[in-house]
Amino acid sequence: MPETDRAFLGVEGLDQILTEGLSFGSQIMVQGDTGVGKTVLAGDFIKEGLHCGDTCIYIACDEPPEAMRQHLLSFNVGTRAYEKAGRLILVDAYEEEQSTEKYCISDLSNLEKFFYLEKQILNDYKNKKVRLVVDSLSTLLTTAPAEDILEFHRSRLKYLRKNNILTMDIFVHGVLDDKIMTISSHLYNVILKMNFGGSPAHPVRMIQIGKVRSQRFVAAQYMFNISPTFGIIVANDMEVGI
Amino acid sequence: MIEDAFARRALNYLYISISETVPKLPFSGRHWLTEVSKGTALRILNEHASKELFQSKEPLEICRAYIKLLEDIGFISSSKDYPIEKLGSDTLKITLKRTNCIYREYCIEAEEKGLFFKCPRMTSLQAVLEWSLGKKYDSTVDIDREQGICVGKLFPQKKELDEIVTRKDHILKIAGRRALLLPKITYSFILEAIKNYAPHILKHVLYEAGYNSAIPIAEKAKNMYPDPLEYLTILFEELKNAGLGEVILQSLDTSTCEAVIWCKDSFQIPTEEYETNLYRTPRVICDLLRGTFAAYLSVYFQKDIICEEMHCQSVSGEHCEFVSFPLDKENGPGGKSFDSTRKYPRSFNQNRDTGFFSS
Ligand SMILES: [Zn+2]
Ligand SMILES: [Zn+2]
Repeated sequence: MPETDRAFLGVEGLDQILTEGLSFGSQIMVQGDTGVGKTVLAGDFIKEGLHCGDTCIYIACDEPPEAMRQHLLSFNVGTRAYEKAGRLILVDAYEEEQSTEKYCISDLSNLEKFFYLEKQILNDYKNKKVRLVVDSLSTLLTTAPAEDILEFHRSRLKYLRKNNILTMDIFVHGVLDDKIMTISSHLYNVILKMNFGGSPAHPVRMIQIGKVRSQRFVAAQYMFNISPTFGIIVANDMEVGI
Repeated sequence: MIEDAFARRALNYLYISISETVPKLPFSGRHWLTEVSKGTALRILNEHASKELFQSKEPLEICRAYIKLLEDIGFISSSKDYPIEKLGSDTLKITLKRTNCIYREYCIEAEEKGLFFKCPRMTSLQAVLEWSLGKKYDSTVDIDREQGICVGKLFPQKKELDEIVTRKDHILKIAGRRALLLPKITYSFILEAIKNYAPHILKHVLYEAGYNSAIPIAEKAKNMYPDPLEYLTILFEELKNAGLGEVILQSLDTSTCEAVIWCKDSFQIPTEEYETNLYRTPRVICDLLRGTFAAYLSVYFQKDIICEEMHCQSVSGEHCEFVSFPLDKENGPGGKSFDSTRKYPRSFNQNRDTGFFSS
């Protein structure tokens, strides 16, 4: 792979594990407990993309896009410059009709409509190195029947792969049926699981990065912390069991 | 002495040569030429002037006495060539036909070649006024090419004009703080070490180091140059003089505090022998300059300005591009795309010709 075609997550400890990086067209599934740091990871991923010259599209479903602006600003990243240059596109899929954003997606219960609007936005950035984050995709899928969800995944991920979109889809743990999650995870290249571990008195954040191979999720587990300045910090020299 | 064509010519050549040399020196040197002329005048005074000649406390009389002295010692042919008059309460006006000026070769060549120029006649009068009155003076010269006349003005100095970079004996200072001249390889090894022990802090360390260290320099420059373009020009010149890169202001909107800055050959661009693997993939890397520009603009506009490097020479192209915005405008969706209004990339030399400046 030529150097410029590689992409990394922007989290030092994880990127060391992904020695070769990811190619554009790869798809990352992030699964995690509420409040564990999935959006922080998305911020790291976007920041990395902005610094590498990529075009970053963030579809905010669980919070207004302003939250991501403020989050990036806490990393010393002024989003306005990138938004003005058309390198950062924040899509409001939270406030729906009330949104004051330039880009917004409403009527989230309709998966076909979402996919159509998503394609419309992506179409504006053809031939660019695009990173797409949907935070969180599980929000869109809560009310949909299982077969619709799987059909949506198949056609959407196929489209994204074909168009070389480096995709990060975020799933909140417990929202979707376990069986659907397991089947879905087979459609992604990289799975990141983030959860709280330790004891109730001493909770620790754990992250696993890996792939689904022969029906099994293979990954090492690491502890991580969230720094308000640096984002996710993974102690990758402290593997905590397989 | 004035009859000696060779001496006069040599004197002019000397000034031309100094003007050509000053921009080649590391660090700044804007006022050195003034200091050279002042020093010459003080030597003439020390050698020839009896204090009685300069009894008056009246600037007009002092200047006239000095011109008369130059005539008496044969340095100029006639003091009548230098009519001096009062222009308002504290400004003097000196008119001179260029053909009569002993510095004409320097004056004309400097103008033709765009050399750094400070009229030695005016600066010598500044020196005389400072010597007799103990008060700093400044001067300007307007050249009327068609009439072949130079019109000089002398007035009390309003603000302290000095260098941002100074050296006294073995201590070098930038904006009054001790400065060091280090080989770039030292800087590279500092980065290497940070990368090895804590790679995630690298960008923050550089941004904040650039920001915080630029604040005192920016404050000093703001006192010296209240006009925004002059202020940024001086600061960018300092960066160039210190070898950090050739910085050019592409656009500045003082109403919105937004700026586009280009830097060619940033010192943070890696070179062959070292710093090649600081990051995993090609990316923008000039975070120290990014912080520096944010500080310059924050000090100038008295509000928090954030600066982003949108494109880096280390990836491709002939320069890095920085864009800055005030933080108060950070909230809210982005407006019209820069890319849609500007053809990119443009040659580095095509700057300042697109009318981006507004104030
Ligand atoms: Zn002249
Ligand atoms: Zn750069």
